[in-house]
Amino acid sequence: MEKKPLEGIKVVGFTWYVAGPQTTKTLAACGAEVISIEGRTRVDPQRTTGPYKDGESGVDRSGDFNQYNAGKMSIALNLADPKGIEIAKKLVSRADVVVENYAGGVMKRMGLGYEDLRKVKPDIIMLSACMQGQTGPHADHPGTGYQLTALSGFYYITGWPGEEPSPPDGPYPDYIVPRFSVLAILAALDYRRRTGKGQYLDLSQYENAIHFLSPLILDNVVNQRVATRVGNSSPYAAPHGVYRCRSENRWCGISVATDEEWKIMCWLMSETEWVQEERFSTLEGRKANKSELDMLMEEWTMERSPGEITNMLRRFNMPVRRLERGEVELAEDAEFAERAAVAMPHGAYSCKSEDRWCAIVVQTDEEWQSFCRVIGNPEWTKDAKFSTLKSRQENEEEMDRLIGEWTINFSAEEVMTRMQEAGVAAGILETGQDLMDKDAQLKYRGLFEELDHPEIGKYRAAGTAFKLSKSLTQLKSAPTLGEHNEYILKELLGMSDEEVVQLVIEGAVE
Amino acid sequence: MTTKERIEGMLSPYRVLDLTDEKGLMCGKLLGDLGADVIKVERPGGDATRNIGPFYHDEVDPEKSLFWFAFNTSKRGITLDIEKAEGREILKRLVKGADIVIESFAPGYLDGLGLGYADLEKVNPGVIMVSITPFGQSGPYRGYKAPDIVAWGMGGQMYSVGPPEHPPVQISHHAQAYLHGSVEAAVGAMVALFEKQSSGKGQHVDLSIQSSLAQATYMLTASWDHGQTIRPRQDPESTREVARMQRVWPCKDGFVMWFFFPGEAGKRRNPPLIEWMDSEGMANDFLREFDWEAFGVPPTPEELLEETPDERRQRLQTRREALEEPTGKFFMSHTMAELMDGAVKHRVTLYPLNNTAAILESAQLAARGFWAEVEHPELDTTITYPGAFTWASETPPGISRRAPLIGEHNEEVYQQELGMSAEEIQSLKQAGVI
Repeated sequence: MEKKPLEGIKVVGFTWYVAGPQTTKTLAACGAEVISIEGRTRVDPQRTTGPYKDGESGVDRSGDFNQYNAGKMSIALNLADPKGIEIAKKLVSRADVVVENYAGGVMKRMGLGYEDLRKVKPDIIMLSACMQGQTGPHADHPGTGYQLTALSGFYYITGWPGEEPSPPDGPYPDYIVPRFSVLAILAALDYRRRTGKGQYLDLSQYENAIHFLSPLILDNVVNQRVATRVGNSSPYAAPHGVYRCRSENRWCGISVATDEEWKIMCWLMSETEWVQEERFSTLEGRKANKSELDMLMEEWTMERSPGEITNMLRRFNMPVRRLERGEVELAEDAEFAERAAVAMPHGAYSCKSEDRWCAIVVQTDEEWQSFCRVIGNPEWTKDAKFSTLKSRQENEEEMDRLIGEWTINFSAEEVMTRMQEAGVAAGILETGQDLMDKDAQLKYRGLFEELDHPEIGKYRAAGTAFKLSKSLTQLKSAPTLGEHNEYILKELLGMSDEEVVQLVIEGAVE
Repeated sequence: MTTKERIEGMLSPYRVLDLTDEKGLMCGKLLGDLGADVIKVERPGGDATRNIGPFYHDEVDPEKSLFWFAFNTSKRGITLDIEKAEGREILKRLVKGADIVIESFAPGYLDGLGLGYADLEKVNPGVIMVSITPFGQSGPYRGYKAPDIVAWGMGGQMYSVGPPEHPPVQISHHAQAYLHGSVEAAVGAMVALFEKQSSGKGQHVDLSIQSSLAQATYMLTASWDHGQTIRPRQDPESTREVARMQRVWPCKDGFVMWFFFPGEAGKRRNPPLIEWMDSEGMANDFLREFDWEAFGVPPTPEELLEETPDERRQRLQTRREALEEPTGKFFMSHTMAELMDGAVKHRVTLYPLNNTAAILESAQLAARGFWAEVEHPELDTTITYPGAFTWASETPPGISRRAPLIGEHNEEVYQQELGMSAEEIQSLKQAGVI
């Protein structure tokens, strides 16, 4: 189990944002050596995009960068400098695979196109994955995965009938493309093993995304039907939808120590007049009126979810915690404990509970019977209006309302568990917290691996979606920018200290 | 009919047995498009997946499912009842000659038939078995049911999607969740195939559809991991100006996607649109002189304390209207096609909200030769399909044949390749095995 399956494979990545980085991350998780060529003059915009660790910005603190670059080494080169290009080529000459996802034509213009790279490594496998491919009239049209989600048809088929289209979550093709990319690279490696030939793979993210629409494309070709958005409905199941569930109590820990912090707090709460009152303007005043202040604070927090409050406070570097267990949890928190004597307001305040949802799907009559049993066989389920799939679909709105009246009494976890135990498909619409901390199955599989990052310390990133019975896949931390400059130049390329210093002085190594 | 002359592909030497339903069909399709010899093993009478629409000319018929067509290209097809003893023996004979077996049954089903990985490994130690299930082969949710919307929601893809007046919404039509799982399963198969070169042994690849979704999110797990924050569907209290800006804009004949980028990116990406509007007399001084670099950049506490939240909200609202009003008018004066052409010409990060019809008319896809024309002789027609998922200089992938008819290659596989006699096949047919 100790050996990783792709050990020995060397990959050089010229990647940014998500699609390219996730491609090389999968290869790294499977044991390939991945060197990511970055730069300080031209920083991967993902490094300068939040969320940041603890809300504090910095090139080594971006959550999604650290997620999608786990397991790689980083060298910072200036690719506008010929010496930077020379080092990049040296790294390619010892590599098996090059992955890049810059805009169409960029690598070629830098002198790093396939024809250039095969001169330094004749059997190199190079994969380019730009938005719309390296050829054609739109090859170099600028954009990101968000725009591509619209272009490739997913906006149009997401949302409610008769309403404006809704964007799916995030840059959707970025979730699709890395899978196709790794598949193509591994297949090309197999071909190279058999024949000795490398090759160039020109992958278009647009085309990859269309593969996820195939049946709808054929429907248009054959039946001239243009697929549109249908909400959450399905022709094969009823009930089929998402139902609101009861939420648990939530708290937020807030601590205001200095008058500056109090001013910010006042600003955030300025719709309530009491914060301007003089008796609250000093720490002494706030402490003297503690119980009144806490009550008023809670009136404000009760109107907001913990997420809203943490977002608001964190923007101003105010200490804030989302809590599951109220005061008990706050007492265990070192930062809050330290502030306890010098801060007011200071404590755990309960918040508005959040949206919690569970999807439920009933496909067969047997499942419908089980479903009715779980919800306690209320009178309405005996109505002929709901006895068949067809009649349930005809009365979907009424049925969904009645189901919602039941689900609201239970937590999303309870709804899912009760339904699944009775053989009815149901699942929580999971948040980041659910995925990482609550979902028992993902925990069991260990999808999120704990890593140790030189700057931000412990964090977690998702490993491979597949488990191999006889070999190991495992991540390492994402690199800080240029973390492996020395190691790569000296140990891998055999340069001397003097040479490296010279390159840094000249600015080729950043 | 003999086996078609195969063009050398990346995966030509390999044989794949595909026992999947809609959860895994695309995995075998992709390996087939890469040149592998993929045999779809269906139950006698044809797989249930053939009943999934849409259908050719809307005729509900297991030989006319467009869903089936789409995800079974480049496969041959045989029928086999693996629940019968003879069927199991035949499957084992096929496994002897196979490199990869893909399946998507509920965990434990094949073990119950004596066809689990432990059994197949004895028949062929080199075989790689790929299992595609919603949650994986083991663990607390292994027995849970997961139609698309359940897998999608539990993979984190749904919580933050859709307008706030409705429940969260999935992507319409066929299951997206299963496609992610299927392609990732093909990755897993290739990783195991690569490893086999050094160990000489096959192994079991246990793919979780939920994991494949949970590993592909943006600002979702990162927000929780780095900031202990749950990203809400919509943040009405947001002080971030860009979060409130419009993304979907109506135009003459549909919608386009455009947003004003903040900060550094805004300085680069926003002016080309204003210049384009200006060239048609639709910009104004406010737009021409706008300071993009400062736009959407979070204020410092000092800046913030200069005005009350109400004043700030009011000021941003006024500014937002001043930006969006002329822009909206400009888009409304053009069609989607005009806007796409103009965007390319002026290098504006604007894209149409395509539907399938617009995708089929795309000049870019036509220029790249993306579409594949696939013959369906029994329907007396040729159908346009999405073609190769990547262009490749040596061994381009592509559709080698249309999806198989029910039992189309029974004779070819059983008689010519397994060497069964015509009588043997006849008796298996009578016994309902094939």
